[in-house]
Amino acid sequence: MMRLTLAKSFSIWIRRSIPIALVAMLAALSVVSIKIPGYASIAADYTSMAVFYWTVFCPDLQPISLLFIIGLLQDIICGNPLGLTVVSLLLLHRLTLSQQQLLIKKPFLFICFAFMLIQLLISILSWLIMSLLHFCLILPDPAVYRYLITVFGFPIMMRFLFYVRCYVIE
Amino acid sequence: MAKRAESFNSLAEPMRSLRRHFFFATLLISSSILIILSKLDVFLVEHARILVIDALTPAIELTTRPISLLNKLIQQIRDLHYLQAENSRLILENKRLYRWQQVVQLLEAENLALRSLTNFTPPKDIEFVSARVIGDSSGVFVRNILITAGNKDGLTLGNAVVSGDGLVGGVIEVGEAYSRVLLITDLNSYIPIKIDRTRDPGLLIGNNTRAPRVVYLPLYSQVVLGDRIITSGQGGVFPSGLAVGVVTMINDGLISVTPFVDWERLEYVSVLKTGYDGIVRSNIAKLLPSMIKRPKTLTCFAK
Repeated sequence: MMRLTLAKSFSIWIRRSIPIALVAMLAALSVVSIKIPGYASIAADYTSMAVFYWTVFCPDLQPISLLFIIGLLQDIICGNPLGLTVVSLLLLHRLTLSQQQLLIKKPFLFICFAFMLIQLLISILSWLIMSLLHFCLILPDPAVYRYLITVFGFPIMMRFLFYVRCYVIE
Repeated sequence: MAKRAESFNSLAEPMRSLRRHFFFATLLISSSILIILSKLDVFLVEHARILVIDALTPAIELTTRPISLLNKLIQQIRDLHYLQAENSRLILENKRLYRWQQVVQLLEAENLALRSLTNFTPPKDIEFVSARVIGDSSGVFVRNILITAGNKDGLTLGNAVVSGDGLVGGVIEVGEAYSRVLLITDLNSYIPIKIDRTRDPGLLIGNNTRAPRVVYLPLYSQVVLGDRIITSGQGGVFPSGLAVGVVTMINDGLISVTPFVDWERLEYVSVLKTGYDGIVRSNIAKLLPSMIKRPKTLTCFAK
Protein backbone atom coordinates (compact mmCIF):
# COMPACT_ATOMS: atom_id res chain seq x y z
CA MET A 1 0.00 0.00 0.00
CA MET A 2 1.29 3.45 -0.91
CA ARG A 3 2.18 5.55 2.11
CA LEU A 4 1.13 9.18 1.95
CA THR A 5 3.71 11.76 2.87
CA LEU A 6 2.87 14.35 5.48
CA ALA A 7 2.64 17.12 2.86
CA LYS A 8 0.28 15.05 0.72
CA SER A 9 -1.96 14.19 3.68
CA PHE A 10 -2.06 17.85 4.65
CA SER A 11 -2.92 18.86 1.08
CA ILE A 12 -5.76 16.31 0.98
CA TRP A 13 -7.04 17.48 4.35
CA ILE A 14 -7.02 21.11 3.20
CA ARG A 15 -8.84 20.27 -0.03
CA ARG A 16 -11.43 18.20 1.81
CA SER A 17 -12.04 21.09 4.23
CA ILE A 18 -12.74 23.59 1.46
CA PRO A 19 -16.52 22.95 1.14
CA ILE A 20 -17.26 23.53 4.80
CA ALA A 21 -14.80 26.44 4.96
CA LEU A 22 -16.60 28.06 2.01
CA VAL A 23 -19.96 27.57 3.74
CA ALA A 24 -18.52 29.27 6.86
CA MET A 25 -17.13 32.16 4.80
CA LEU A 26 -20.43 32.69 3.03
CA ALA A 27 -22.22 32.63 6.40
CA ALA A 28 -19.85 35.38 7.59
CA LEU A 29 -20.72 37.40 4.47
CA SER A 30 -24.31 37.61 5.66
CA VAL A 31 -23.29 40.03 8.41
CA VAL A 32 -21.18 42.35 6.27
CA SER A 33 -23.35 43.89 3.64
CA ILE A 34 -22.11 45.56 0.52
CA LYS A 35 -24.09 48.77 0.26
CA ILE A 36 -25.30 48.60 -3.30
CA PRO A 37 -28.31 50.95 -3.55
CA GLY A 38 -31.54 49.14 -2.81
CA TYR A 39 -29.64 45.98 -1.97
CA ALA A 40 -28.48 46.59 1.59
CA SER A 41 -31.70 45.55 3.26
CA ILE A 42 -31.85 42.10 1.72
CA ALA A 43 -28.92 39.93 0.71
CA ALA A 44 -29.06 36.53 -0.97
CA ASP A 45 -28.90 33.44 1.20
CA TYR A 46 -25.38 32.42 0.18
CA THR A 47 -25.10 29.81 2.91
CA SER A 48 -28.11 27.85 1.64
CA MET A 49 -26.76 27.92 -1.91
CA ALA A 50 -23.43 26.45 -0.83
CA VAL A 51 -24.99 23.88 1.49
CA PHE A 52 -27.28 22.69 -1.31
CA TYR A 53 -24.44 22.43 -3.83
CA TRP A 54 -22.04 20.54 -1.56
CA THR A 55 -24.80 18.20 -0.39
CA VAL A 56 -25.45 17.22 -4.00
CA PHE A 57 -21.84 16.90 -5.15
CA CYS A 58 -19.71 16.21 -2.05
CA PRO A 59 -22.07 15.15 0.78
CA ASP A 60 -19.27 13.48 2.73
CA LEU A 61 -17.29 16.70 3.00
CA GLN A 62 -20.06 18.56 4.80
CA PRO A 63 -20.64 17.14 8.28
CA ILE A 64 -23.97 18.19 9.81
CA SER A 65 -22.32 18.88 13.19
CA LEU A 66 -20.33 21.69 11.53
CA LEU A 67 -23.47 22.92 9.75
CA PHE A 68 -25.09 23.14 13.18
CA ILE A 69 -22.20 25.27 14.50
CA ILE A 70 -22.13 27.52 11.41
CA GLY A 71 -25.90 28.07 11.59
CA LEU A 72 -25.67 28.87 15.27
CA LEU A 73 -22.87 31.39 14.73
CA GLN A 74 -24.83 33.02 11.92
CA ASP A 75 -27.85 33.35 14.19
CA ILE A 76 -25.72 34.86 16.95
CA ILE A 77 -24.03 37.38 14.66
CA CYS A 78 -27.17 38.36 12.77
CA GLY A 79 -29.35 38.63 15.86
CA ASN A 80 -31.82 36.01 14.67
CA PRO A 81 -33.62 33.83 17.20
CA LEU A 82 -31.03 31.16 18.06
CA GLY A 83 -31.64 27.99 16.07
CA LEU A 84 -33.60 29.49 13.17
CA THR A 85 -30.77 29.26 10.62
CA VAL A 86 -29.68 25.93 12.10
CA VAL A 87 -33.11 24.40 11.46
CA SER A 88 -33.13 25.81 7.92
CA LEU A 89 -29.67 24.48 7.09
CA LEU A 90 -30.27 21.07 8.62
CA LEU A 91 -33.57 20.60 6.79
CA LEU A 92 -32.09 21.87 3.54
CA HIS A 93 -29.24 19.38 3.93
CA ARG A 94 -31.63 16.54 4.75
CA LEU A 95 -34.08 17.24 1.91
CA THR A 96 -31.27 17.56 -0.61
CA LEU A 97 -29.53 14.43 0.65
CA SER A 98 -32.73 12.44 0.16
CA GLN A 99 -32.66 13.39 -3.56
CA GLN A 100 -28.87 13.39 -3.97
CA GLN A 101 -28.65 10.19 -6.04
CA LEU A 102 -31.22 11.58 -8.46
CA LEU A 103 -29.83 15.11 -8.63
CA ILE A 104 -26.18 14.24 -9.20
CA LYS A 105 -26.94 12.75 -12.63
CA LYS A 106 -29.22 15.56 -13.78
CA PRO A 107 -28.33 18.58 -15.96
CA PHE A 108 -27.60 22.06 -14.64
CA LEU A 109 -31.11 23.49 -15.15
CA PHE A 110 -32.78 20.59 -13.39
CA ILE A 111 -30.53 21.11 -10.34
CA CYS A 112 -31.43 24.83 -10.31
CA PHE A 113 -35.11 23.89 -10.44
CA ALA A 114 -34.66 21.45 -7.55
CA PHE A 115 -32.94 24.18 -5.50
CA MET A 116 -35.82 26.53 -6.30
CA LEU A 117 -38.35 24.03 -4.89
CA ILE A 118 -36.36 23.03 -1.81
CA GLN A 119 -35.46 26.65 -0.99
CA LEU A 120 -39.15 27.57 -1.34
CA LEU A 121 -40.06 25.01 1.33
CA ILE A 122 -37.26 26.22 3.61
CA SER A 123 -38.22 29.90 3.16
CA ILE A 124 -41.87 29.18 3.93
CA LEU A 125 -40.85 27.21 7.00
CA SER A 126 -38.57 30.00 8.28
CA TRP A 127 -41.34 32.55 7.71
CA LEU A 128 -43.83 30.34 9.56
CA ILE A 129 -41.43 29.88 12.51
CA MET A 130 -40.90 33.64 12.76
CA SER A 131 -44.65 34.28 12.52
CA LEU A 132 -45.21 31.73 15.26
CA LEU A 133 -42.59 33.41 17.45
CA HIS A 134 -44.30 36.78 16.95
CA PHE A 135 -47.82 35.33 17.37
CA CYS A 136 -48.91 36.96 14.09
CA LEU A 137 -48.37 36.54 10.37
CA ILE A 138 -45.41 38.79 9.65
CA LEU A 139 -45.10 40.65 6.35
CA PRO A 140 -43.85 38.09 3.78
CA ASP A 141 -42.39 40.67 1.33
CA PRO A 142 -38.75 40.62 2.56
CA ALA A 143 -38.79 36.82 2.64
CA VAL A 144 -40.17 36.72 -0.92
CA TYR A 145 -37.52 39.19 -2.17
CA ARG A 146 -34.76 37.23 -0.52
CA TYR A 147 -36.07 33.98 -1.97
CA LEU A 148 -36.12 35.48 -5.47
CA ILE A 149 -32.61 36.96 -5.13
CA THR A 150 -31.32 33.62 -3.83
CA VAL A 151 -32.96 31.56 -6.56
CA PHE A 152 -31.81 33.87 -9.37
CA GLY A 153 -28.32 34.13 -7.90
CA PHE A 154 -27.94 30.37 -7.51
CA PRO A 155 -26.77 29.62 -11.10
CA ILE A 156 -23.86 32.07 -10.67
CA MET A 157 -22.94 30.59 -7.31
CA MET A 158 -23.26 27.09 -8.75
CA ARG A 159 -20.85 27.96 -11.55
CA PHE A 160 -18.34 29.34 -9.02
CA LEU A 161 -18.63 26.28 -6.76
CA PHE A 162 -18.32 24.02 -9.81
CA TYR A 163 -14.92 25.55 -10.62
CA VAL A 164 -13.83 25.23 -7.00
CA ARG A 165 -14.83 21.56 -7.01
CA CYS A 166 -13.22 20.75 -10.34
CA TYR A 167 -9.98 22.65 -10.04
CA VAL A 168 -9.30 22.74 -6.30
CA ILE A 169 -10.99 19.82 -4.57
CA GLU A 170 -10.73 17.14 -7.22
CA MET B 1 -13.87 -15.30 5.89
CA ALA B 2 -15.35 -13.28 3.02
CA LYS B 3 -18.83 -14.40 4.06
CA ARG B 4 -18.24 -13.18 7.63
CA ALA B 5 -17.08 -9.77 6.37
CA GLU B 6 -20.14 -9.55 4.13
CA SER B 7 -22.50 -10.36 6.98
CA PHE B 8 -20.70 -7.85 9.20
CA ASN B 9 -21.15 -5.17 6.51
CA SER B 10 -24.83 -6.02 6.07
CA LEU B 11 -25.28 -5.43 9.80
CA ALA B 12 -23.02 -2.38 10.08
CA GLU B 13 -24.65 -0.38 7.28
CA PRO B 14 -28.15 -0.17 8.86
CA MET B 15 -26.48 0.65 12.18
CA ARG B 16 -24.53 3.50 10.59
CA SER B 17 -27.69 4.76 8.90
CA LEU B 18 -29.59 4.57 12.20
CA ARG B 19 -26.78 6.47 13.94
CA ARG B 20 -26.88 9.20 11.26
CA HIS B 21 -30.69 9.53 11.61
CA PHE B 22 -30.38 9.68 15.38
CA PHE B 23 -27.66 12.34 15.20
CA PHE B 24 -29.70 14.43 12.76
CA ALA B 25 -32.81 14.15 14.97
CA THR B 26 -30.76 15.17 18.02
CA LEU B 27 -29.41 18.28 16.28
CA LEU B 28 -32.87 19.21 14.97
CA ILE B 29 -34.46 18.84 18.40
CA SER B 30 -31.59 20.84 19.98
CA SER B 31 -32.12 23.70 17.53
CA SER B 32 -35.88 23.67 18.15
CA ILE B 33 -35.20 23.88 21.89
CA LEU B 34 -32.80 26.76 21.23
CA ILE B 35 -35.50 28.64 19.29
CA ILE B 36 -37.90 28.28 22.21
CA LEU B 37 -35.25 29.28 24.78
CA SER B 38 -34.32 32.25 22.63
CA LYS B 39 -37.96 33.36 22.56
CA LEU B 40 -38.27 32.92 26.30
CA ASP B 41 -35.21 35.15 26.82
CA VAL B 42 -33.43 32.66 29.05
CA PHE B 43 -30.64 34.56 30.74
CA LEU B 44 -27.97 31.92 30.13
CA VAL B 45 -28.71 31.76 26.39
CA GLU B 46 -28.59 35.51 26.08
CA HIS B 47 -25.42 35.71 28.14
CA ALA B 48 -23.79 33.08 25.93
CA ARG B 49 -24.81 35.10 22.87
CA ILE B 50 -23.20 38.25 24.31
CA LEU B 51 -19.99 36.36 25.20
CA VAL B 52 -19.71 34.85 21.70
CA ILE B 53 -20.24 38.18 19.98
CA ASP B 54 -17.74 39.85 22.32
CA ALA B 55 -15.20 37.24 21.28
CA LEU B 56 -16.05 37.55 17.59
CA THR B 57 -16.20 41.35 17.41
CA PRO B 58 -12.50 41.84 16.49
CA ALA B 59 -12.85 39.29 13.68
CA ILE B 60 -16.07 40.90 12.40
CA GLU B 61 -14.42 44.32 12.56
CA LEU B 62 -11.44 43.02 10.60
CA THR B 63 -13.73 41.49 7.97
CA THR B 64 -15.71 44.69 7.57
CA ARG B 65 -12.62 46.86 6.86
CA PRO B 66 -12.20 45.80 3.21
CA ILE B 67 -16.00 45.82 2.75
CA SER B 68 -16.15 49.41 4.11
CA LEU B 69 -13.44 50.41 1.64
CA LEU B 70 -15.48 48.80 -1.13
CA ASN B 71 -18.60 50.60 0.08
CA LYS B 72 -16.72 53.91 0.10
CA LEU B 73 -15.52 53.27 -3.44
CA ILE B 74 -19.08 52.48 -4.62
CA GLN B 75 -20.28 55.65 -2.89
CA GLN B 76 -17.58 57.78 -4.49
CA ILE B 77 -18.45 56.46 -7.94
CA ARG B 78 -22.12 57.24 -7.30
CA ASP B 79 -21.25 60.72 -6.02
CA LEU B 80 -19.11 61.45 -9.09
CA HIS B 81 -21.97 60.44 -11.32
CA TYR B 82 -24.37 62.88 -9.67
CA LEU B 83 -21.79 65.63 -9.00
CA GLN B 84 -23.22 68.31 -11.26
CA ALA B 85 -26.84 67.76 -10.25
CA GLU B 86 -25.80 67.61 -6.58
CA ASN B 87 -23.88 70.87 -6.90
CA SER B 88 -26.90 72.72 -8.34
CA ARG B 89 -29.11 71.28 -5.60
CA LEU B 90 -26.65 72.34 -2.90
CA ILE B 91 -26.45 75.92 -4.22
CA LEU B 92 -30.24 76.23 -4.01
CA GLU B 93 -30.30 74.59 -0.58
CA ASN B 94 -27.57 76.92 0.65
CA LYS B 95 -29.62 79.96 -0.38
CA ARG B 96 -32.68 78.53 1.36
CA LEU B 97 -30.71 77.73 4.51
CA TYR B 98 -29.23 81.23 4.59
CA ARG B 99 -32.75 82.67 4.70
CA TRP B 100 -33.60 80.20 7.48
CA GLN B 101 -30.49 81.26 9.39
CA GLN B 102 -31.84 84.82 9.58
CA VAL B 103 -35.16 83.51 10.91
CA VAL B 104 -33.46 81.26 13.46
CA GLN B 105 -31.28 84.07 14.78
CA LEU B 106 -34.36 86.21 15.35
CA LEU B 107 -36.20 83.34 17.05
CA GLU B 108 -33.18 82.52 19.22
CA ALA B 109 -32.96 86.06 20.48
CA GLU B 110 -36.70 86.07 21.19
CA ASN B 111 -36.46 82.69 22.90
CA LEU B 112 -33.62 83.84 25.17
CA ALA B 113 -35.57 86.95 26.14
CA LEU B 114 -38.70 84.92 26.97
CA ARG B 115 -36.69 82.34 28.96
CA SER B 116 -35.15 85.04 31.11
CA LEU B 117 -38.64 86.44 31.71
CA THR B 118 -40.07 83.06 32.89
CA ASN B 119 -36.99 81.74 34.79
CA PHE B 120 -36.97 78.65 32.56
CA THR B 121 -34.37 75.94 33.41
CA PRO B 122 -33.10 74.33 30.18
CA PRO B 123 -32.58 70.54 30.07
CA LYS B 124 -29.03 69.25 30.59
CA ASP B 125 -26.87 68.54 27.57
CA ILE B 126 -27.00 64.87 26.62
CA GLU B 127 -23.70 62.99 26.64
CA PHE B 128 -23.00 60.82 23.65
CA VAL B 129 -20.53 58.25 22.36
CA SER B 130 -19.67 57.81 18.69
CA ALA B 131 -19.23 54.34 17.28
CA ARG B 132 -18.56 52.61 14.00
CA VAL B 133 -21.10 50.25 12.46
CA ILE B 134 -19.33 46.91 12.05
CA GLY B 135 -22.13 44.53 11.25
CA ASP B 136 -25.28 45.13 9.31
CA SER B 137 -27.23 41.91 9.34
CA SER B 138 -29.26 42.13 6.19
CA GLY B 139 -31.53 39.34 7.35
CA VAL B 140 -35.12 38.92 6.31
CA PHE B 141 -36.60 38.75 9.77
CA VAL B 142 -34.39 41.10 11.75
CA ARG B 143 -33.13 44.63 11.24
CA ASN B 144 -30.22 45.36 13.54
CA ILE B 145 -26.63 46.57 13.48
CA LEU B 146 -23.55 45.91 15.56
CA ILE B 147 -21.57 48.92 16.76
CA THR B 148 -18.12 49.28 18.33
CA ALA B 149 -19.16 50.68 21.70
CA GLY B 150 -20.32 48.76 24.71
CA ASN B 151 -20.35 48.48 28.42
CA LYS B 152 -16.83 49.92 28.72
CA ASP B 153 -18.07 53.11 27.06
CA GLY B 154 -20.96 53.42 29.51
CA LEU B 155 -23.72 52.25 27.20
CA THR B 156 -26.87 50.81 28.70
CA LEU B 157 -30.01 49.19 27.38
CA GLY B 158 -32.43 51.48 25.64
CA ASN B 159 -29.92 54.22 24.77
CA ALA B 160 -31.07 56.08 21.67
CA VAL B 161 -28.83 55.75 18.62
CA VAL B 162 -28.79 58.55 16.05
CA SER B 163 -26.94 59.44 12.89
CA GLY B 164 -26.50 62.88 11.38
CA ASP B 165 -29.86 62.42 9.66
CA GLY B 166 -32.06 61.22 12.50
CA LEU B 167 -33.01 58.38 14.82
CA VAL B 168 -31.47 55.02 13.94
CA GLY B 169 -32.82 52.83 16.76
CA GLY B 170 -32.18 51.75 20.32
CA VAL B 171 -29.57 49.61 22.07
CA ILE B 172 -30.95 46.14 22.84
CA GLU B 173 -27.84 44.13 23.67
CA VAL B 174 -24.74 45.41 25.44
CA GLY B 175 -21.47 43.50 25.40
CA GLU B 176 -18.12 44.63 26.77
CA ALA B 177 -16.89 46.22 23.54
CA TYR B 178 -19.89 46.03 21.22
CA SER B 179 -23.63 46.70 21.24
CA ARG B 180 -26.50 45.58 19.10
CA VAL B 181 -28.89 48.28 17.92
CA LEU B 182 -32.45 47.44 16.97
CA LEU B 183 -33.33 49.62 13.99
CA ILE B 184 -36.58 51.58 13.90
CA THR B 185 -37.62 49.49 10.89
CA ASP B 186 -37.44 46.17 12.78
CA LEU B 187 -40.61 44.27 13.52
CA ASN B 188 -39.94 44.52 17.27
CA SER B 189 -39.42 48.27 17.33
CA TYR B 190 -42.10 50.45 18.97
CA ILE B 191 -41.24 54.12 19.37
CA PRO B 192 -43.45 56.82 20.90
CA ILE B 193 -43.55 59.68 18.40
CA LYS B 194 -45.49 62.79 17.66
CA ILE B 195 -46.39 64.66 14.50
CA ASP B 196 -44.18 67.76 14.53
CA ARG B 197 -46.81 70.07 12.97
CA THR B 198 -49.86 69.06 15.00
CA ARG B 199 -48.08 67.64 18.14
CA ASP B 200 -50.41 64.59 17.98
CA PRO B 201 -48.84 61.64 19.81
CA GLY B 202 -48.64 58.16 18.30
CA LEU B 203 -46.52 55.07 18.02
CA LEU B 204 -44.08 54.20 15.24
CA ILE B 205 -44.06 50.46 14.58
CA GLY B 206 -41.43 48.74 12.44
CA ASN B 207 -42.50 46.10 9.92
CA ASN B 208 -39.15 44.92 8.51
CA THR B 209 -39.59 47.12 5.45
CA ARG B 210 -38.05 50.53 4.85
CA ALA B 211 -41.31 52.29 5.72
CA PRO B 212 -42.44 51.78 9.33
CA ARG B 213 -46.03 52.72 10.22
CA VAL B 214 -47.60 55.19 12.59
CA VAL B 215 -50.45 53.89 14.72
CA TYR B 216 -52.53 54.99 17.74
CA LEU B 217 -52.87 58.59 16.60
CA PRO B 218 -55.81 60.51 18.07
CA LEU B 219 -59.05 60.21 16.05
CA TYR B 220 -59.10 63.91 15.26
CA SER B 221 -55.52 63.84 13.93
CA GLN B 222 -55.10 65.47 10.50
CA VAL B 223 -51.90 63.97 9.12
CA VAL B 224 -50.84 65.04 5.66
CA LEU B 225 -48.08 63.88 3.32
CA GLY B 226 -44.76 65.47 4.18
CA ASP B 227 -45.44 65.83 7.93
CA ARG B 228 -42.28 65.43 10.00
CA ILE B 229 -42.24 62.76 12.70
CA ILE B 230 -40.18 63.27 15.87
CA THR B 231 -39.79 61.30 19.11
CA SER B 232 -42.24 62.30 21.81
CA GLY B 233 -40.10 61.26 24.78
CA GLN B 234 -43.01 59.41 26.36
CA GLY B 235 -42.00 56.35 28.35
CA GLY B 236 -38.70 57.90 29.28
CA VAL B 237 -36.36 55.93 27.05
CA PHE B 238 -35.72 58.24 24.13
CA PRO B 239 -35.39 62.00 24.57
CA SER B 240 -38.06 64.04 22.86
CA GLY B 241 -37.53 65.93 19.63
CA LEU B 242 -35.25 63.48 17.79
CA ALA B 243 -35.99 63.57 14.07
CA VAL B 244 -37.41 60.24 12.90
CA GLY B 245 -38.81 60.60 9.38
CA VAL B 246 -41.41 62.04 7.11
CA VAL B 247 -44.91 60.81 6.20
CA THR B 248 -44.72 59.52 2.64
CA MET B 249 -47.87 57.48 2.24
CA ILE B 250 -51.39 57.60 3.66
CA ASN B 251 -53.52 54.75 2.41
CA ASP B 252 -56.80 53.63 4.01
CA GLY B 253 -55.76 54.96 7.40
CA LEU B 254 -52.32 53.34 7.18
CA ILE B 255 -49.62 55.95 7.60
CA SER B 256 -46.17 55.02 6.29
CA VAL B 257 -43.08 56.94 7.28
CA THR B 258 -39.78 57.12 5.43
CA PRO B 259 -36.98 57.47 8.00
CA PHE B 260 -34.50 60.32 7.56
CA VAL B 261 -31.60 57.91 8.02
CA ASP B 262 -29.82 56.85 4.85
CA TRP B 263 -29.42 53.14 5.59
CA GLU B 264 -26.96 52.70 2.73
CA ARG B 265 -24.53 55.28 4.14
CA LEU B 266 -24.80 54.33 7.78
CA GLU B 267 -21.17 54.05 8.81
CA TYR B 268 -20.90 55.94 12.10
CA VAL B 269 -23.56 56.54 14.72
CA SER B 270 -23.85 58.43 18.02
CA VAL B 271 -25.29 56.74 21.09
CA LEU B 272 -27.07 59.18 23.37
CA LYS B 273 -26.48 58.36 27.02
CA THR B 274 -29.85 59.64 28.02
CA GLY B 275 -29.66 58.06 31.45
CA TYR B 276 -33.33 57.23 31.55
CA ASP B 277 -34.35 53.91 32.98
CA GLY B 278 -37.44 53.03 31.00
CA ILE B 279 -36.62 49.34 30.52
CA VAL B 280 -36.90 46.98 33.45
CA ARG B 281 -33.65 45.17 34.14
CA SER B 282 -33.10 41.95 36.03
CA ASN B 283 -31.45 41.98 39.45
CA ILE B 284 -28.53 39.95 38.15
CA ALA B 285 -27.93 42.47 35.43
CA LYS B 286 -27.67 45.16 38.08
CA LEU B 287 -24.97 43.13 39.80
CA LEU B 288 -23.08 42.40 36.60
CA PRO B 289 -23.46 45.33 34.24
CA SER B 290 -22.00 43.46 31.24
CA MET B 291 -24.61 40.74 31.53
CA ILE B 292 -27.59 42.83 30.71
CA LYS B 293 -30.71 40.93 29.78
CA ARG B 294 -31.96 41.54 26.27
CA PRO B 295 -35.48 42.99 26.18
CA LYS B 296 -38.07 41.13 24.14
CA THR B 297 -38.95 44.27 22.25
CA LEU B 298 -37.81 47.83 22.20
CA THR B 299 -40.94 49.09 23.86
CA CYS B 300 -40.70 52.46 25.41
CA PHE B 301 -43.60 52.46 27.83
CA ALA B 302 -43.02 53.67 31.36
CA LYS B 303 -42.69 51.15 34.15
